[in-house]
Amino acid sequence: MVEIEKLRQEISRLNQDIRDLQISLSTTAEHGDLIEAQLYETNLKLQEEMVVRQRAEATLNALFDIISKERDDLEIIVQTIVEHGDVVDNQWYQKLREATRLANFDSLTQIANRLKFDGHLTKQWKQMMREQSSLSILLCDIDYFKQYNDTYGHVMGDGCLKKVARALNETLSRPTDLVARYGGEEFAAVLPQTGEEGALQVAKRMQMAIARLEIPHASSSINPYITLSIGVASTIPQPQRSPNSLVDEADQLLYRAKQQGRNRVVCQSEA
Amino acid sequence: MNIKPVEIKTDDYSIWYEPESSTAFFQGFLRLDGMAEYQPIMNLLVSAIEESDSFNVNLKDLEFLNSSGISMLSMFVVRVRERGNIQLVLQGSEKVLWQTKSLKNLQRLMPSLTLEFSS
Repeated sequence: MVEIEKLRQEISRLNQDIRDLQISLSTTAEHGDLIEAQLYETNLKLQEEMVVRQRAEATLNALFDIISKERDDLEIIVQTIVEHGDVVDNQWYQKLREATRLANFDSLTQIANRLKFDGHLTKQWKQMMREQSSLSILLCDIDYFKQYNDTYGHVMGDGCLKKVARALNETLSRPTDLVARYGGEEFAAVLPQTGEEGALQVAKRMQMAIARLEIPHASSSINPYITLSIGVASTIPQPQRSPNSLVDEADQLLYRAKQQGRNRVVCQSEA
Repeated sequence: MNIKPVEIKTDDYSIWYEPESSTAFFQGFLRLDGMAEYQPIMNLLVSAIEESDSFNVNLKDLEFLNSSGISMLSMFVVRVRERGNIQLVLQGSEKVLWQTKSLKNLQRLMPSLTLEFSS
């Protein structure tokens, strides 16, 4: 009987163990399911996140490419603008030089024109007034130039003017001296720091230089070659006097040289 | 198709578009003050490229172009490049100093751009 009782107890304990194990098993299984579900969800989330990140990375790369390209573009544009500025600046400068040259030089003879002469005279007049030094003006005219043109034509006439202009220009050596084409066949020179005597010497040199050119002039009634008449006016500039009045004086002296037979120099003391 | 702004003309410069040859012509001295003043010209160019797959800009007689102008032209080149599929030709003159220098730089922005220089 005792044996049977023992066996019953044993069965009861085993049944209890079975129940415990069943509870434990179902608990573990449920727990596993729960964890599996959680893992699955987490995995899904991770995958979604990866897609989002990949997209973001692609967007960033695209943005980076655009920015890099824009930066490259901007670098090229900046360089283009800077170099363009320099080259245009250079172009303006050349233009300015050309315009200045055109404004101040006679296109035919390539010596100074009347505008340049007037500017230079005004400047030197003031300077000589300060220094109380002499200033001389020479007005030169080619004798019988109208007849020269009528005889040889305007092309030869232009050639003659060019040669005379060059010869007169070469006669002057000081940087402040200036000879300009004053009118058609008229040339004018400004000689600062030069009195009548010095100016007369320059005028004679000019006549000699023209004589050496030996430009034939068949219709001149005074000489077989081209000659010059020159009026020389000198003064020490004074505030009450204008530089133009000295030009007028030289013009009157030139007129006298013409009246007295041409191919000569007339100055105030000889007039 | 109808091109609306065909010509911009002042004493200093003139710009016009010839639809038959798909060519925009620039002449004279273009010295406008700042990018804003270049906007009407940019608009003319932009509306012109809507009309054709190829586009020429004739700059041969444009003696001067200031920095804002070259900047506008640079941006136009970038715009053409971004649109793609447009054959852009810049026609210049070897006699105009700025063109010999700056147009080559524009080609760096758009390597497929063609430069044609006449002497």
